[in-house]
Amino acid sequence: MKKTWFFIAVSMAAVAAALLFWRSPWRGLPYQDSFAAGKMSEWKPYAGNWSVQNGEIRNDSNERGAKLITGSLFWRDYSVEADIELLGDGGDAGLMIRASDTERGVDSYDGYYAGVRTTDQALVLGRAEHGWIEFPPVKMPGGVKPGRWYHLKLGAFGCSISASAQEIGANNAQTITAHDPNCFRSGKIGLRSMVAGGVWRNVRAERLTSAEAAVLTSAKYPVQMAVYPTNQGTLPTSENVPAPAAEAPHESGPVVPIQNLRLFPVLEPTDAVVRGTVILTDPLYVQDSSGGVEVEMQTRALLRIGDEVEVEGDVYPHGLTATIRNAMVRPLGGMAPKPPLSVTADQAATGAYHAMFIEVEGTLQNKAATADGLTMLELRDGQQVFRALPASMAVSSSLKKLKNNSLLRLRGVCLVNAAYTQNAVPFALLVSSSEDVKVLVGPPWWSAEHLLALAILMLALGYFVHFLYSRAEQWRLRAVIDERERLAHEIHDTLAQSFAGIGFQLRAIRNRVSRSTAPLDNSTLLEELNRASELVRHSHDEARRSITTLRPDATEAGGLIAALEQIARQMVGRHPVRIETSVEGEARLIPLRVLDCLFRIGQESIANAVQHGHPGKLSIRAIYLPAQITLVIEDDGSGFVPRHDSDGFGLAGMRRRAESIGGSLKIETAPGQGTRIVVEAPAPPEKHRLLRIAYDEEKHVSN
Amino acid sequence: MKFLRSRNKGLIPTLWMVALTGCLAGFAGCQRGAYRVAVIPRTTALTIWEAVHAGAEFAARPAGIQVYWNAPTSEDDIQQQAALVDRIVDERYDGLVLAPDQPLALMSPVRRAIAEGVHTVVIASPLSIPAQENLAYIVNDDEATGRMAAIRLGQVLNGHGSVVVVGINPESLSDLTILHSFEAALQRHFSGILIADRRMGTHNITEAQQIADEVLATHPRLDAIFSLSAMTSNGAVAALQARNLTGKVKLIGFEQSVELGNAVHSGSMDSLMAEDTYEMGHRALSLLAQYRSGSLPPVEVRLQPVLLTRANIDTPKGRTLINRDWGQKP
Repeated sequence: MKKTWFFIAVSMAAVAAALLFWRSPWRGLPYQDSFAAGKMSEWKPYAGNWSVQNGEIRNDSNERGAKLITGSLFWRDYSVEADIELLGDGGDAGLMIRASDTERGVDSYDGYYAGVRTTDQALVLGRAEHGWIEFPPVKMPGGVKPGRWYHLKLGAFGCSISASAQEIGANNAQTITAHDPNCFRSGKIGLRSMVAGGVWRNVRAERLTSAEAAVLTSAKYPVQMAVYPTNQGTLPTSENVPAPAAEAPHESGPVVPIQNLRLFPVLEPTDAVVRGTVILTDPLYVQDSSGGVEVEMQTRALLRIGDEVEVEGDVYPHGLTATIRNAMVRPLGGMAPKPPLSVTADQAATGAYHAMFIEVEGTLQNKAATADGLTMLELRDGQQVFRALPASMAVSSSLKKLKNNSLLRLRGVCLVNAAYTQNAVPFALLVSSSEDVKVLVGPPWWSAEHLLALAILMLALGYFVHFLYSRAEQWRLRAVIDERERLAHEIHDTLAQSFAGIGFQLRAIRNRVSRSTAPLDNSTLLEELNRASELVRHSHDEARRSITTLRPDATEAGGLIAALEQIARQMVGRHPVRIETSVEGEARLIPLRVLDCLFRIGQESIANAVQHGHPGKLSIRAIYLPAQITLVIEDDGSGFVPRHDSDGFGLAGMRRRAESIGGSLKIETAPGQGTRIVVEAPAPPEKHRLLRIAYDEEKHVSN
Repeated sequence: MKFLRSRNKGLIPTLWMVALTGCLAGFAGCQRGAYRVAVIPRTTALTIWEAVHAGAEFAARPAGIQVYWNAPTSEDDIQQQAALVDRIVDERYDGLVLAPDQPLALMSPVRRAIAEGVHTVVIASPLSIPAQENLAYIVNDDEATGRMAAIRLGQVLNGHGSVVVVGINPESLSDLTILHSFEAALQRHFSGILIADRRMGTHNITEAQQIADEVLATHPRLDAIFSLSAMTSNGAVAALQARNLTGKVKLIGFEQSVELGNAVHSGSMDSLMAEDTYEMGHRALSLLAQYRSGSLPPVEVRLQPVLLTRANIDTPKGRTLINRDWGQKP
């Protein structure tokens, strides 16, 4: 019992410790990103197009409010910092702190965000509560330009929040420190961009130093707050709206639909101009309403998914596709990334959607590894089989977790080039974000693996049941054999002996009658007949006793005591002996073997008491204990002097009987003190169900 | 044993009954001896494919091959054609002759057919799958088509003029190959002929006529039109007639039909580049008959197109190419 309580206490303490550790504000701190190792598995994206390249993480989507979150909801007073580069104009990129309740959407989270913003060339800090409230921004000396690296640090202590930014390599640090009386107390860290897209590196989060905490504690509540409930950004003023950049004059030919590019001559490249939206940046794919095309730029430009561009270059048609090489890409503007065209696999397989951003459904048939070690999916939709290829290791990891026979909805760039399809499937989908894979329906439970596991389980269960049944059968047979053996011994010891004695007596009488020539001595004859008659009576008693012990109601102590009482009353006859019987404890079934031994010992004890002790009172008691049964035969007769070397009155036989069932016999007696014989026999506290079945079977067979 | 013997008396007739019932229920199963081939052209709505039917039937009959003939009602109904191929595989046909509507979309069904051991011959235009065991190609030589069309055009225009290519299906590898070959041959042999425009095709006759009319309006000094489909050729014939430009603007078409054959005969068209679809069907069935008991080797045959002009349209060869009566040998 003590051990059980100790175990429960230790378990509860372990659970409490684990809970405390889990909720600890310092679990996982300090945090350092593992982008250098190409890993981002601990981050969860909410929109955007996130990929790890060269130790940096990039969101090249100009989607509004793209977020990437990691950390613990219980982090409280800490700072997060990183180097940040903006990919384009018209927005901002930065860091989040104490973020919780995050979901897709522009300001759809609770927490704080600080970033550098191109629209007003400022450092911005604000509070998001599924809406946006901004602290007064501060201008960055030197401005905020795409392509430059800034170091941004955001800290929170109590209800004080601080953000500082500095262009790397310049001495232009700016800081905003604010006090938010109704602050968010804890939450995760995050990376976020708004339209601009961005690149982050060296992302670190750690506990604040005492000096930093002291600075934050002195922060005051700002005089006024700017509220932008539906969108983020500074109100446009004459100061903060940058003058439109003067476009470099250029001459270009007429814009052609992208689909027409594959009709261009193949003998020599033809110059062409197309306009469209960037749907993938690496490799660069541009899409218009008629189709999509791969673009190889002369010089690398900072582009984001969703950018509207004009592309001029040499057209190289090949088969059902075309490529624009030596291309000049001119940004025309930006907008939210193009939503995918929802098509069926049959439609995608026509090649009409080559190099276009599509959404298609399919059932996952199997997964395979590409030559680069990435995980590739093979899917089926109707008659069509197609592939999904990951654009990065991070996407590959998420594809690897998918289960065969799941119904998936995938978004990606549809490609029919043999380089991607290996001419094995009509098209392949280049998936650039784990967000672009959605499991619509999981695999059915009756998969081959599950059925196999179930079959093995059923086999094991069947084997186990068979094993138990076999054991029960063995136990039953053993019990039957034991009982038959016991009966054989019983008959041999009692009835057979008695019959032999009776036979001997009868033969003696016959011999005397047949051989005697002299007149028979009636008294001798009568004596021998009396002896034979006594043997018959004894045998009859033995048989009756055996039958009594075989009766179903004799399988409990009640039956035993009743049988002993009956014997005692017969033995006592007309002598004035008071016989008392009792059964104590919770009655239960006792094995026949034990019951028989107890009966025989009890019978012998009663006989000894009546014949030698001349008692006035005889007590017969059965006591049930948890693991044993005790039979006590006690009389107030003359008693005797106990001797261990040679027990008289059949005591040695009684002791052997007790030992034969694993029990013991105790004799407490002294001259004039009466005699108390105690037999302790093992009796299982609760019979096993199978034993009970065997026991019942045994009874059935015996009956 | 005695027990078994007594049981066998009833068992053997029972087994025979079961076998007979199974045979009757799955009649096809009892017909395994007959080699069954499904011939699926792009569509059964155009007369160009009736020549395939004729060629297939005339090769199949002597070989005792059963031919099943069916196709989508329209040549752009790719899904129906793919479903038809799948059904053929499910019904355990021995052979498949397929003129794919699209080179990519039919890849998966054809791959399945090959995997199931169906002897497959792709005709007219190839898929992106290379020839392999149980997959053979008997296709039109698209490069030769473009080249021959360019040479014919150079001859009728005497090496000078402008031409518009209409009816291009940008999802058809054959069309793009013909176009690029046509351009290359013109540049090589008739550099005085300029391709003024390239227009995509349609499967609708009214729209085809509108496109041709628009081309004629946009290019008033046009000398010739090269049409890559029967439908756009019909539209161009109608547009030329409407503008009274028949004969003045030369029209060369690709894909033959009875109507277009009549147009050549009457002079409404200059010429037709005819795919030898009769030969495709005939050779495909001959190939299947030859290898019916084993695996089909990875055969690749490119059949030369036939230039049908007013001079040879009524020859036996010309009539064969636009023959629609597959019920009797021409």
